[in-house]
Amino acid sequence: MKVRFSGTLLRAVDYEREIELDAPTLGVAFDQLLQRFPQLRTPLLDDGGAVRSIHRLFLNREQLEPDTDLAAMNIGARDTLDVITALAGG
Amino acid sequence: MRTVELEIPIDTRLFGPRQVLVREVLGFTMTGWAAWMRKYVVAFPKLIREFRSGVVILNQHVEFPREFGFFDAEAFTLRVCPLVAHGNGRLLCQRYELVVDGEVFAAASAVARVVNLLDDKGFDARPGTLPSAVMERLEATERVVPLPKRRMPTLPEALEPIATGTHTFRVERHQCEVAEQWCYIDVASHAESARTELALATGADKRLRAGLKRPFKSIDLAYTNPMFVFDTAKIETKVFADGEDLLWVHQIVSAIGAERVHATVFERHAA
Repeated sequence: MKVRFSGTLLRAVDYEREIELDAPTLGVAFDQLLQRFPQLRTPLLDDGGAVRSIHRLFLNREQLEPDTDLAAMNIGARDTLDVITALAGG
Repeated sequence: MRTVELEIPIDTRLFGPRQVLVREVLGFTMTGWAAWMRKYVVAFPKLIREFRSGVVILNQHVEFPREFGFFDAEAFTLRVCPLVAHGNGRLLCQRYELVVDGEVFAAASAVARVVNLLDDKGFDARPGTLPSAVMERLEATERVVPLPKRRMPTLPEALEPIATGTHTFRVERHQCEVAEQWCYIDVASHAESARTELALATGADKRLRAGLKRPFKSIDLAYTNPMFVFDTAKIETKVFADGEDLLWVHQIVSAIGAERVHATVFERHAA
């Protein structure tokens, strides 16, 4: 699968906008990301380990609801997850 | 009425050949807001650090009531009108004017949304209200219950564009603020790039060149979704002949996450 980053998280992944991962679930994908980019944990996740509310996740251009069980969500090699920061304004 | 006045010496950076540069007028939004807040309510750094609140700008309107050029004075006054907090401090509105000899040559108003920071490190924020300790420092006339109406022009019905175009761009680091989010000031500059590309295209309708040589009458901007450093987007531009005016409508769209609009810019010139 591909994970694409934008916004404030880009610095935490060394400005690698698109990251290829081999993971069966989003939970495993996040584990792989945090292993590779440990500095991503604090800006991405809150103290309880949930994705901070300022970020939005889009799987294949469909926005995931905040209460989605990401850890158990199955993904395929052709899936794309966009992680973007969303706060309206300029 | 609680106002702030700052004297701005005129230098070449502030002006183009037509008028004061739009990006400079927009830049006075935060200068004026910070000056007014510091004098009457709370300084910007303290608002963020102690009250964990900040603002993001949603809408701006700029108008140029009369012509004014680089050689017309040595300085002008930035007059900042009172801040008005709407909806228990959810939205903030402020107007400011650029004045010479008592006459306004440019004026702008901005609507901003208050955001509350949710953690110490500033990683998380969400739309909120000004803390009560801050609201108490506003006078009664500066606290208004109803929310302001979104102020964006609408196109006259049945108006057909005389030209359309698409311009792509990337948000560069020098166009971002401290959190690497695009700076609202540069949104107007991105629109200008789209306008220039369309007007200079080979075989373009010669009326479009009014967009290069005539001063602006007014500009309206709406910021709906932020962009961040190195994001790419396209600007879809439509040009309309509206009576004696030329109206440029730019919509900044991207497919970041999902197809969405980041900003809309209406520019009005005398044709």
